[in-house]
Amino acid sequence: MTKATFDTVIHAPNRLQICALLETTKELEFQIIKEQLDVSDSVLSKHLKVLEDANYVQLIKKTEFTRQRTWLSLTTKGRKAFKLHLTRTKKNCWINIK
Amino acid sequence: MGTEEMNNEKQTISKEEAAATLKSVDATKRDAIQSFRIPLLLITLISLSYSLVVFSWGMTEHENMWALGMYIGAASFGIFVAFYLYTFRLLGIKVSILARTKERIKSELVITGYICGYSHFAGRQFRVYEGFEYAPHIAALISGGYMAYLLYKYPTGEYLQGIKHND
Repeated sequence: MTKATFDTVIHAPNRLQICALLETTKELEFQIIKEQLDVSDSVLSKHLKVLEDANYVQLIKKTEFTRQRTWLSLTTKGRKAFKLHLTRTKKNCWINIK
Repeated sequence: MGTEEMNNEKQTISKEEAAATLKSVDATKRDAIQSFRIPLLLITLISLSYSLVVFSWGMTEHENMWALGMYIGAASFGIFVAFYLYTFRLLGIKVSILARTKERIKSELVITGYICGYSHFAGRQFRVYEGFEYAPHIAALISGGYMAYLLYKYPTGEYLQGIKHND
């Protein structure tokens, strides 16, 4: 069976989906990601903490219209790591995602 | 979590798992893009106002009123785009406006700039210097259609490679 090295921080299913979601735009709010992934606040926070510790994701808390909002974005390092992870995964399974 | 597990480069995955990973990423992006779609009415309004600018520019001559169409088109284009950005922000999505990645600059912005810029100026040039009366109509159709295509396909403003839009 073919094996390849991969990024364990990104590879966890929920974290992979978080990165995929964040890649689609500049910044997303915590609530949107929660709805898209259909997970609880605590689960999402836990995964975000791991990504934030690896410096892959940036969290910015802002108060807008008297409401606290948490904006999330992929850092340059995170974007590169996610792309590299997908490239390695593609090479490993020989399928074309296009 | 041990030190070994924290190392990002030590684990391995099988071929089947890799295929499942790629499918999952593709599905996540596709679902996200579908749920972030701009309402068709707003896409139509933005595209039409942009077309009006291109068309009016092509039709403007000394004393005629098409310059007014250009100003109205530009103002409504600005208002509709601002509305789109503002509503997306309220929904929790910040749209990328400026290019941040090399891929995006190369594959999207250059083509977009070329098509929009060329159709904008060609519409007028062909009508005034070549006498082709329908040049502004064609230019407006091309640029408006292309604008609608971009807004529909990339609602968040980010260029994504490898996404199947088979919705």
